[in-house]
Amino acid sequence: MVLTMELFRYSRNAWGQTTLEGVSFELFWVFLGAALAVVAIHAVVTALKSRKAKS
Amino acid sequence: MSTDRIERHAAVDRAFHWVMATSMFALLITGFAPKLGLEFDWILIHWVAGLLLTFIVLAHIVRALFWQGFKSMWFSARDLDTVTALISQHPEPKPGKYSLAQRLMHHAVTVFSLAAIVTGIVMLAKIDGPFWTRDPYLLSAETWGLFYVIHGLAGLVFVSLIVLHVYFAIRPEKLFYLRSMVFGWITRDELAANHDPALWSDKS
Repeated sequence: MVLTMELFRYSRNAWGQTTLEGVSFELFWVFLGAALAVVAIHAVVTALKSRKAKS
Repeated sequence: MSTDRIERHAAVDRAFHWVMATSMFALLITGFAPKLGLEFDWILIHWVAGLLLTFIVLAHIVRALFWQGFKSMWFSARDLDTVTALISQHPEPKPGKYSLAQRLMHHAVTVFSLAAIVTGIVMLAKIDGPFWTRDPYLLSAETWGLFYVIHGLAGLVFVSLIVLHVYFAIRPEKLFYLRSMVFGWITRDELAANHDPALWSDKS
């Protein structure tokens, strides 16, 4: 399965020209997910280090 | 303040932080929620919160330039030692008032705030306001598109930055920083354990 995601939003005007409208709002979930992934990785690594230091 | 406490953030700086946080949350909620399916009249709240953010950032810039030692927020050769220590997993040298991570966060917030503010102010030309009339032809369609991309990208980056900022603010070992942003102070023990008193103390 191939997941595709638009990076930008475009519109087409009355003359058929494509105009840039902004960034894709689907990216919201990418930025939120990336930050939550960093948080999860940091929390796990810190917990493992702390456990190793105690033992 | 008792002698075992030292001031980390003056009241005016704490007020700046929390007003900025409030306006930032208002901007992100009003900016993204309607696009993600939550319909409400968001434009008024969005631009008023944007003007509040603009005012508070300008006030902070003036205060940082003339009343605060902005050197404490800058980089030095010592930061290379911190990076080297991180990579080689050796103990990091203690920082001055702000750690390398805190300064990097500050500079990222600076860059993306200014990008959002500048593009946001220009985007006010797209709506009617109390003191201006809309002029959607101020810029070409291509340039408007570019402004919207920069504005949107800044908002997306702030989603990530805020998640990271809140996470590191509530981690147990960092809670004293959160307390200092609420009440203004840290203890001398916290200073000695986390900072180099030669680089930052209440006497510097």
